Amino acid sequence: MIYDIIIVGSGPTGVASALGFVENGIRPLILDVGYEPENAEVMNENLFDYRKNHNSFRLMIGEDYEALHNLIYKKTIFPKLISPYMRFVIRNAEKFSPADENGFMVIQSFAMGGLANAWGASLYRAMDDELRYTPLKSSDLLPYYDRLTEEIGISGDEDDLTPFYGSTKGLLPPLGLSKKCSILYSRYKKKKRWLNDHGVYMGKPRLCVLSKDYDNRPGYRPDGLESWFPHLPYVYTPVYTLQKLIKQDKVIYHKSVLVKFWTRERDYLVVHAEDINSGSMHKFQCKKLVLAGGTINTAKIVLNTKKDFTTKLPIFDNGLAQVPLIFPFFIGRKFETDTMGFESLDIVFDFHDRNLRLKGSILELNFPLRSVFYDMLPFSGRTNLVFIKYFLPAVLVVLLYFPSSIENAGYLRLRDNGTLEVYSQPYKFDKEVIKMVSRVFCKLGALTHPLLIKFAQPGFAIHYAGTLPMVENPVKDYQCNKFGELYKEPNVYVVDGSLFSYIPAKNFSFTLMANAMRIADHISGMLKSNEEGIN
Amino acid sequence: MLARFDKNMYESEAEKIYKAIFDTEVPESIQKQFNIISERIDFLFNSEEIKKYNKSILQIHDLEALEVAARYMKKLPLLTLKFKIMVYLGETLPENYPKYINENDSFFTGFISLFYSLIRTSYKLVKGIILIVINRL
Repeated sequence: MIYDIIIVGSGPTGVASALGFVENGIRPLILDVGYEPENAEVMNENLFDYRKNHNSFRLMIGEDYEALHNLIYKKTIFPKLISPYMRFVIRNAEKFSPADENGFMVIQSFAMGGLANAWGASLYRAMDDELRYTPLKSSDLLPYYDRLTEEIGISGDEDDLTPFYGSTKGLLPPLGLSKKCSILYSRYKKKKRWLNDHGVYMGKPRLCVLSKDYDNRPGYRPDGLESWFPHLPYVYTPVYTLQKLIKQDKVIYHKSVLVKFWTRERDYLVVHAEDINSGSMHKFQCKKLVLAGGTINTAKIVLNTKKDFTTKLPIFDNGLAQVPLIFPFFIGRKFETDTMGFESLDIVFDFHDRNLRLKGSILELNFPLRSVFYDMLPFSGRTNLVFIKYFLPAVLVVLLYFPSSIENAGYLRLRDNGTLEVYSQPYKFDKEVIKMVSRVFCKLGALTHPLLIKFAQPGFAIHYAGTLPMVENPVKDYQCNKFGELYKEPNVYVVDGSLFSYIPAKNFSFTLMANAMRIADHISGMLKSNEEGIN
Repeated sequence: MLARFDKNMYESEAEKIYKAIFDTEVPESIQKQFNIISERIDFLFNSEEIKKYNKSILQIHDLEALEVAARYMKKLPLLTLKFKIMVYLGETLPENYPKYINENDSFFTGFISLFYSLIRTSYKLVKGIILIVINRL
């Protein structure tokens, strides 16, 4: 059988493109490894309340001591993935796609829904200036942003960040703020004129967290589970859309296969995939192939197909700094167990004179395992515990994102033994900018200092992009055209982060999804016109 | 295979480390969990590091002081790691919940506790450095 479309991967872009095909009346085949949570246990109470009355070893540490991973092993994993319930997200990633990390942190997922199972839930539209290195304008993506907003259910607000985040059409009301965030926001409003004059703006994030019941899913309830459990009904992940499409029989989902490469017959493509259980190879035939395996895995499939073990493809990520904000009058205050684990407030630093725009996500430190913070404190054992108890309730953290840059790019190469080599120098951060950011937060009444700021290693933001860039007129291998079609590889399309050789200082997933849907629309149009031509 | 003392060694270290952090006797469940993970991680360290660790567990009474000094002096990495592991394991017990999560609103209590703890940590650091030097750890 020759399928019209084969999609590789079920992450945000794979699912968004599938939705695009389905809405054009096409039933794609999705090839995926597709790991799912091993334990479907759902809690019905606040996680902190549960812990007061129950031994939480199995819940917090895990039978296989999963939560101790970052303590014991040299290769650290993203904090959210240390939960025993989240480990399916990265299950067998090192086996299926071994990577030699040389200064660049590589996180890959072969789960159904991909890394979005553990995402930060923020979804932003891109502005025209943020698409400047692509052949796109934000208006090209507008109908897809609107359609996806309706599909996902995004909370947000019309506020000072609207010029940076785009249209508020279809947004659900914003989520509430914790006490410290409320204070910070009211201080911003009081000093707004001065701050705006200095290019500083604050507002609510755009989150795929339901602020009210929507599309048969319940609204957010403060249960402290969002950093610990997957598939909470009020936090959107692509799995919801995928499961809906599977149930409606609008896509064919073939799991437990790992796509390795493709070959080409006269008028169709053959996708070669390994059965992960038996190790045997399978072939799937299609007219058009859509690669949505994620920036790193898609690049690997392309390099493997070409048997190219020398080319170094660029790879970008956002620079990330973690800025603690201390509110002294909150020392000794009761810990708010009902605050949200995602960002509550956003701050944008628009430094025109430096042509630089940063975005900060402001979060409560309500990660369920308090022991995670023990490692960050410099005191003796008991004193560290006292600080965890009395001092942490006085702290917010800002995840400060920097745009990607050529200066901070890494590279990726496939070795002939199948291992990926991913290299990056430590990112360079402008010290003057860091000082300015610290001064702004002090102006807002929160204590911080450049010396307290921690800079994450390249790759830690997990906003990988740019391996197979989309350009107006591709002239060389590993470039794609405006519709994601790979140079000299007709009918092979890339729809994921690989296409973007610049990522602004904000989560780009929503734009990647909208672009994947746009490309699906284009491919559908071509298929239809071909059929009409034949008829 | 690295040389351990015996099964009692694990039990002894669990007792001493738990006591150093929480100032109470180690519950049986934590002791079992600690022993299992200890057996796994010991293979990550060389025999010299294990030897010094064993010496510190057997000979030093104030492990809290020793650990904080070791951290600053970049010594006894196994002790530092086992302290961290015990902090994680200890957090899973409901009776330890109030040691991690502040359930009462009191700026004064919080401030005094932090101030006292800072003085205490300074004392422990100095004591620990002396212990490391005297015992050649």
